[in-house]
Amino acid sequence: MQKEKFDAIVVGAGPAGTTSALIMAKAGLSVALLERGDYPGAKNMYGGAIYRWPLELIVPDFAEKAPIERRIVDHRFMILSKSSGFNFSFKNLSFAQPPYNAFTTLRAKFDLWYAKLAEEAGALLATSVSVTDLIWDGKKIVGVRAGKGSENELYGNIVIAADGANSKLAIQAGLRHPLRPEEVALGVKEILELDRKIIESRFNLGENEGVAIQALGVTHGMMGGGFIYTNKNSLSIGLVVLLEHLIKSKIRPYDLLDEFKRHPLIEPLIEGGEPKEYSAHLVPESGYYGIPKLYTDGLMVVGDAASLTSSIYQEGVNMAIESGIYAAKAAIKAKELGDYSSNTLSYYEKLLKSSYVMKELYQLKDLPKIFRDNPRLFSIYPDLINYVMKELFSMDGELRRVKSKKIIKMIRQRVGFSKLLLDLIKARKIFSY
Amino acid sequence: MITMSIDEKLSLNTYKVYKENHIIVDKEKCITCIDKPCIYCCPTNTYSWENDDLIISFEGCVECGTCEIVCPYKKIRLTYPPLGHGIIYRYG
Amino acid sequence: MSKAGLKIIVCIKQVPAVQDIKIDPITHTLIRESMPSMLNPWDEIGVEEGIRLREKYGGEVTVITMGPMQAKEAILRCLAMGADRGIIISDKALAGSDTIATAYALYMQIKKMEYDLIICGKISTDSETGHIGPHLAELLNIPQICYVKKVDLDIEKRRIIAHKEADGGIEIVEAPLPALMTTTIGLNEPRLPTLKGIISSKRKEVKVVTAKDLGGSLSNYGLRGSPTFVDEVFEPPSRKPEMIFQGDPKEAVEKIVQVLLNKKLISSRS
Ligand SMILES: Cc1cc2nc3c(=O)[nH]c(=O)nc-3n(C[C@H](O)[C@H](O)[C@H](O)COP(=O)(O)OP(=O)(O)OC[C@H]3O[C@@H](n4cnc5c(N)ncnc54)[C@H](O)[C@@H]3O)c2cc1C
Ligand SMILES: Cc1cc2nc3c(=O)[nH]c(=O)nc-3n(C[C@H](O)[C@H](O)[C@H](O)COP(=O)(O)OP(=O)(O)OC[C@H]3O[C@@H](n4cnc5c(N)ncnc54)[C@H](O)[C@@H]3O)c2cc1C
Ligand code: SF4
Ligand code: SF4
Repeated sequence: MQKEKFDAIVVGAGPAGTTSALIMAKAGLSVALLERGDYPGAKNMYGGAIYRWPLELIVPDFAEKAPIERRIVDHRFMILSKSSGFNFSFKNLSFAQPPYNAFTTLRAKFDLWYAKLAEEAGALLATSVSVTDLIWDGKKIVGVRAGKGSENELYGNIVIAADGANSKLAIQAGLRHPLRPEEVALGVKEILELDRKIIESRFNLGENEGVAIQALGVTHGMMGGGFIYTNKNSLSIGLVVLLEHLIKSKIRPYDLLDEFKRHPLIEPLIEGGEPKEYSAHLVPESGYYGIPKLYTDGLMVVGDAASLTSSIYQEGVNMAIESGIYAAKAAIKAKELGDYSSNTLSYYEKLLKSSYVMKELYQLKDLPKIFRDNPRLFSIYPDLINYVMKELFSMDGELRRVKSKKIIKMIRQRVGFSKLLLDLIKARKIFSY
Repeated sequence: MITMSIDEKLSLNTYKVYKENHIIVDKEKCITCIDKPCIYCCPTNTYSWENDDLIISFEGCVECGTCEIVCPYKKIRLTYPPLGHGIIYRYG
Repeated sequence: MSKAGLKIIVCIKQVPAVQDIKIDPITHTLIRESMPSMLNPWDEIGVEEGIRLREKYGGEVTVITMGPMQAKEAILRCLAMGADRGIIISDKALAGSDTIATAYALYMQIKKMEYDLIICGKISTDSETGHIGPHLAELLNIPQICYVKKVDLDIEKRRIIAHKEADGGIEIVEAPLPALMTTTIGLNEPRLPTLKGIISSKRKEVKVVTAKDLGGSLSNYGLRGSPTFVDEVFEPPSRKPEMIFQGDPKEAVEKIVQVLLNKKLISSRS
């Protein structure tokens, strides 16, 4: 019997892999989409929201079809100290109208729905398949293995490694080193079930409207932060911390999450929520400098497997999708040329370089290091801001002029002005583009 | 109930537990490993230290990969439970 | 036996993969959607045995299930193990079937097919009645051997020879084919599907059969064909140990004895 061979084998049916599989299948390539979960999404967790773009490029009517929880109209930021918070929000009601902007969705539902689209387009979706190894022919990657023996081998002209943050395939392909604690964060999260009416009144939302909340100052100075997303009748609450800092702090991630849930400004928001699921997942935090080599003979890396995430805006799904599009385009070109060497696959990198993903990550390239090296951002500044606000808002007969002196003294004690100045300059760098 | 123990948290989850442990640890360094970060960094409390031995209760593991990365000696290898076993998120 | 070799039919059922089973308070039936599910373990053994017999004597293994379309996943799992084709009997009219209506639907399908051996599981993990196999054999009017631990066929004489579990030992039973057997744990160690198996399962035939296709009167199917009346279904209170005694075994035992004494569950006769 002749050895069966696919045009492309995609490992991982997350947003990146499914996107690639879908586009290649539509272009007539034979595609196997392999996923280790019982169903696509069974192993995946994230904060909570996806943006309209670039999903709409692939599924123009996704807003009607996808399993969407709520349309986000309100982005809130909470800078918290022990018992107070400096909060601001950006609410835009046009976000409640088509074409909308961002949506909350749950991965177990979204990933499954999305992968079914790839299946309908002709990709062969095989779940419960955990790929263990790459198959090589000399320097070239020619397939994957999911266990021992030839019965567990599958051959393809191209392998797309879409196996997520902790990508084993990218390492095996020699494209990257194993993640280091300073390059990746751990996210933990709980789903709290809550009546939709309560969610809407508590967060001041219309029907189907949602809010995304980012919270700073809840990680004991570790790089990271908390989040809350509203789903239809549940809340997603969690936080993300850099592993390097978690190791030093010796705080257990679930204790940190409970502390966040008990924060006096958070507790009222989640009150009455019935816990339904507890989850944890890694998210790459290394930004532009952490992007590995993206291709080799017979293989490309996409999405989280290529560390394409932006820590500051909690994005990743959009970048996964965009990179998936370009990898598919390169694969289609390779098929046309009948050349699957890195020579052709370099087209993927070329497309990616001029994309939103890369431009965005390049702009923010210094951010991960700044965040990592400046615990001030995650503890002292939140405290400081709250102190300033308290002084400014409390009416206790003290003149504002006196108060500002107190504030200055406080700043001097906690950070020092030269450092503050330096941080401001760095912060300007981030936002001045 | 705002907060719960880690065991209570894990009991919310759905697992198809596989009969074999998917976390392979070479314990050679554990006894001299001072901080044992695998124990407190793991989000599911999979590791514990009892009678000079690293105990691995893999049933509640959510396959996140944290332990592999935090082990200072790189002695942990996380493989994935075969055939869709392990954690099954219903929300995600 | 037809020229094409043995015709084996394995009846399989998809069951919830979790313990925290939810019950609909109004209809008293299992709430099945969105629960991860798996192949009933006894049926996995049945499929394995069917494949082994086919590997030994040649032929074909067909798996059949009645259930919601979601149960197709369980069929695919059997095909990935190596079964040749699948049939899913699925129809709204079949919802709410009890064991009688389920066995009847299976009978209506199977009687139209060629078969030498039918394999059922001893029980299914969710309802655990163990009725289906025996009931189906009665409807088909063929011999049945239940709780089989070991099985072989005599192809020449067209007979099945099985070791079955019995009270206090093993009975060796022979019967002419076609026959029906039910599996028990220990019959075999089911194989894990391979990557090639999973890929090829996606291309094998899975036929969908409706109530109309089955034929017969609709009043024999589903809730209407189910004389069983469920008076009450309740979730068993999850049992938690009331007390755990730790520490030195001897001290712990003394503590237990003391507690039992206090509760007057035992008396001290010194
Ligand atoms: C706590 C947290 C919050 C986040 N919040 C957001 C947010 O709000 N918005 C946003 O856009 N992004 C968010 N992200 C980032 C986002 O989740 C990722 O960037 C995105 O999921 C990447 O998609 P992917 O397809 O590359 O990888 P994944 O979604 O991780 O998919 C990888 C897939 O590969 C499978 N797989 C892995 N290994 C194998 C193997 N060996 N064999 C077979 N299959 C395999 C996995 O099961 C999985 O299905 C968050 C991440 C975390 C951790
Ligand atoms: C009033 C009532 C209402 C019910 N409503 C529903 C309902 O709405 N939906 C529902 O799914 N169940 C429903 N059930 C349960 C269902 O009827 C039983 O699960 C089914 O009849 C099989 O019984 P069992 O699980 O005890 O099988 P057992 O007899 O314990 O199973 C033994 C073997 O029989 C075979 N077998 C069992 N079931 C099937 C099947 N469906 N297809 C193929 N082979 C099979 C398998 O080989 C299995 O190993 C209901 C039961 C009652 C009493
Ligand atoms: S961190 Fe590594 S070396 Fe240390 S105890 Fe854990 S497994 Fe052993
Ligand atoms: S993979 Fe994650 S959940 Fe599993 S043991 Fe390692 S750290 Fe814990």
